[in-house]
Amino acid sequence: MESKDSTFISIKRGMISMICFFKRDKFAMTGAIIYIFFILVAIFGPLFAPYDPFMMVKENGKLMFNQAPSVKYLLGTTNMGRDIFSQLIYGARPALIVGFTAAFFVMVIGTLVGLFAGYYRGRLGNILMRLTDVAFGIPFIPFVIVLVAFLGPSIWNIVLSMALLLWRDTARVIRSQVLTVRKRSFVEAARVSGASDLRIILVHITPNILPLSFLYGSLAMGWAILTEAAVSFLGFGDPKAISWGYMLHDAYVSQALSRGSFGWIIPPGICIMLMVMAGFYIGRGSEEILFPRLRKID
Amino acid sequence: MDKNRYLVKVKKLKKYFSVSHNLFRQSLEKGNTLKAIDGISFKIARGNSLGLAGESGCGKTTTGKMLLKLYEPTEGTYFFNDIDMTHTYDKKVIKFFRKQAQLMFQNPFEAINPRFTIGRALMEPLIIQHNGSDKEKEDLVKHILNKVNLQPAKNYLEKYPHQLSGGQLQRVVLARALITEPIFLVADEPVSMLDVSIRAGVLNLMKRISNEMKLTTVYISHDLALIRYMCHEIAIMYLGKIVEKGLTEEVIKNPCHPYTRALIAAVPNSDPEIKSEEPKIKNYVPSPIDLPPGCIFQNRCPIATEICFKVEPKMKKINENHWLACHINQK
Amino acid sequence: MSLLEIQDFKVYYRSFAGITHAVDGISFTLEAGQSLGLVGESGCGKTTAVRGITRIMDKNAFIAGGKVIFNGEDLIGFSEDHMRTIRWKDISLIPQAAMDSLNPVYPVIDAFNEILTLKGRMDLYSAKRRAKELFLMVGLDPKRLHDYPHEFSGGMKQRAIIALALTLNPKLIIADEPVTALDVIVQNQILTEIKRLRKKLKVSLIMITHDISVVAQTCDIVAVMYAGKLVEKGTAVDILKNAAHPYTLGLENAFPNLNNSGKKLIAIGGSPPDLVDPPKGCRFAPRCPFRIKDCQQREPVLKEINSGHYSACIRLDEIEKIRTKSKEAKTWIKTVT
Repeated sequence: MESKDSTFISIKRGMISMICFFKRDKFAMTGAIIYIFFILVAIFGPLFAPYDPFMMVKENGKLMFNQAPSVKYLLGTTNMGRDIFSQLIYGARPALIVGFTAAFFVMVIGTLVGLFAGYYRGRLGNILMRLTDVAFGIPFIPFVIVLVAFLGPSIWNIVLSMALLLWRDTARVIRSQVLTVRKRSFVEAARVSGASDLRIILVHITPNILPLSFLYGSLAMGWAILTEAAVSFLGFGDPKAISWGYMLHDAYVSQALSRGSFGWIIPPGICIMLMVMAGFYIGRGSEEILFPRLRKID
Repeated sequence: MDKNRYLVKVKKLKKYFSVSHNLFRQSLEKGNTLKAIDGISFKIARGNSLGLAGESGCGKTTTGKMLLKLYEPTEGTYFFNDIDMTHTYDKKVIKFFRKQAQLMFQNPFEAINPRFTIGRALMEPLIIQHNGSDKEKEDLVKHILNKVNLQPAKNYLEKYPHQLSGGQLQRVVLARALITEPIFLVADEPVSMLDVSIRAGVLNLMKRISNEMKLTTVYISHDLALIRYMCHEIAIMYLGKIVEKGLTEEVIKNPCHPYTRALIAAVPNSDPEIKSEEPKIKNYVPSPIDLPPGCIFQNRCPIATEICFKVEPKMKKINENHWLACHINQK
Repeated sequence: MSLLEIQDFKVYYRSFAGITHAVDGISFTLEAGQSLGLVGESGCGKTTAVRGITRIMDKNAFIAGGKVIFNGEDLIGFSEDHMRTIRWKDISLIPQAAMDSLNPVYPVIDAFNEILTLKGRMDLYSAKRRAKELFLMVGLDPKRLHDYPHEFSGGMKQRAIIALALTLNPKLIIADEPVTALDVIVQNQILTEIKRLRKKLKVSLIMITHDISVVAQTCDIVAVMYAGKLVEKGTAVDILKNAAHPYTLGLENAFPNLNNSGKKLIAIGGSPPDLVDPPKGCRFAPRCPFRIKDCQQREPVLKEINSGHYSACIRLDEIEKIRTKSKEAKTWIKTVT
């Protein structure tokens, strides 16, 4: 029963209640299933992909470019002869990497900033909040583009730029939540017992705001994937990591639409849509467990 | 010796809060300080219990929090156990103080972290203050649960606050306050949110344990009957000042200040054949932000005279166990 | 003809655990101009009962039986539309914490206008006049009608709520814990006001409270509820000076009294029973220090001891002995956990 345990135990308890909640809310359940499906695709998909996504497929010495969907090439091939279906499968990886890492940073940075800004209302709180305001002021996609232009088009640079800005919403919301929680009697009780400020923040306040962090984390996943797709579509993405956004970019510049290669355009779009939607469904469902009705005392 | 006799010595304590411009229609031109406590003094002897009585807004809760150093005073001094605690920033001194001075809350459902089990919640003060082994800490938790009649202790260790009733939770709050073996306990309306039949149990428990542990206690309540039952001495507060204080029996049997008389008269008599009288005071409580000079009770007092509007009455001893702050000394 | 006659009234809740027998067969009569105090612990069903009478209940609550005869007609048979005509015109309900339910974005007079124009079919001018009249009646300055709720103090808000309840001259007002949240001096002023208004307007009152002294000073008759049942009823003097049920006696012991300093408070041990599966026989028996085997075998009924004074205890014939023994702390010790 030590201080470290309390946060672990509350995380464990949170996970158990999360599983129960998924069972109850059909939307959240759908979202969870979609995520699990794509995670499996990202991990095991490449084992089953019929071709290497970069390989320019040749049959009988002839480059199989712009092939229509067939049994051999389930979604057809690109104008450079690459199998679209394999690309789609491989595309799950960058999507999930971006999604999860961005969500992680959003959660961690946003929560920390929110926690300390909410608890230390004086100068430190002010500085942190002004920092958040600056983050709000910077337009997201242009910033990503500029950073990528400076640091080069790598998937990790995209993640970095998201980590630098996307935490702002979380920080604001967590801060206002902390402002409420710190007024509650049990926080006062901790102070009366002699707890230091840091202890109060980590042991007492954090477990009570973690659900909100997770909510914003799951929302951030959706935004991150969408942003990565947008950046890649605009051509600033990582050509070495074939993401769905990159596939759309590729399709666009090779005028796939005028050729009617719907197998190239629609599937990546649908995949992006599904992942973002799933993220929002999970987030929407967890709002209900976050704000239960106040209990009547008498 | 007088030096060691009083555990708590408070002198001319003041706590002002600054209030920014507000939107009420009766807006205030001058004065933007809320004088929550405006110069109170009292002493509590070791082992005694003091009741702070008054209506909402009188400053009793603020006083309680200041006794626990949750607020720093704007002016005045606070001596605890012969140490000047007024503006101490020495971490060691404060930490030791926090072991010795504890608080019981009004709302048991809010007083315990909803994410902690009861066992964990009780361990928290020990983790901060106690230097023994984990086993020793666990034994202390079980021991204190038994002491507050939550038996068998092991049934309660893994429960969460929402699984207990109000009365049980308040006992846990009491247990948490006692686990560091304090010498001073402040209880802020400890039973007002509990059912009537449960209150008696918790009050009797508190009385018994205070006696056993020789605790010095302060009870904050608007319920005079409760203070009469629990407290040796009483201080009646009104708008940040103490208007009358002394031995509870003495003050309640012979109330001298018009406000005290009104409070006592207002408590409904539980005998239906004796009709309660209407308290003879008028008007409503003024805003504590913009107070006129003189006695704070002036605009409600039925016997106010000219001097009451000009000069603030000082606290005077009217007999061995009775002090009064009123120009018109009535017996 | 009595103003209100409740016969064997039952209100149950549907819940995950089963059916909660929140109000399980209560009966009482209220004459015109009388005031009844409904006393009991939280969860005993008093709020549910009055909400059942006015048919303002939660979605999962339903009336499971009995009669609510108001002015000769059984309200239970009434449709919702018909009930709507009764509410506020004949019966007003002031729920718990009503003063916090004044709409904060509208001035107080809007609440009056709404009732008077919609239900009272008055034009705005007459509505304003009536609102002023009501404010004067409860001791408030009519100029303050145009203020917002947050500009009122607690006591003033409660007076405004009482004025609202009186708007259409109801014959019966039901008030759920009307003075609990107020300071003692304001409480006294409000109770005095209520007494005065009752005398002047001849309105009947049902007041729910847990404070025995409030009941003593305001109510003519008292009904004590426990776990969904009435365990004792009678005049205020009967109940408070000659209590005839162990629960009532226990409640009196538990109440700190300003006028009786030497009294030691005695708690009733244990807690109220689960109403989804209530205990067989007397529901108070598990906590009662005077129980005998029969108490948990058969259901006790309200028996008349004196004219108008009823108690549901099967050991009524030994009530004198029970009264004396209940004053001793050791009688109650065996039930304390």
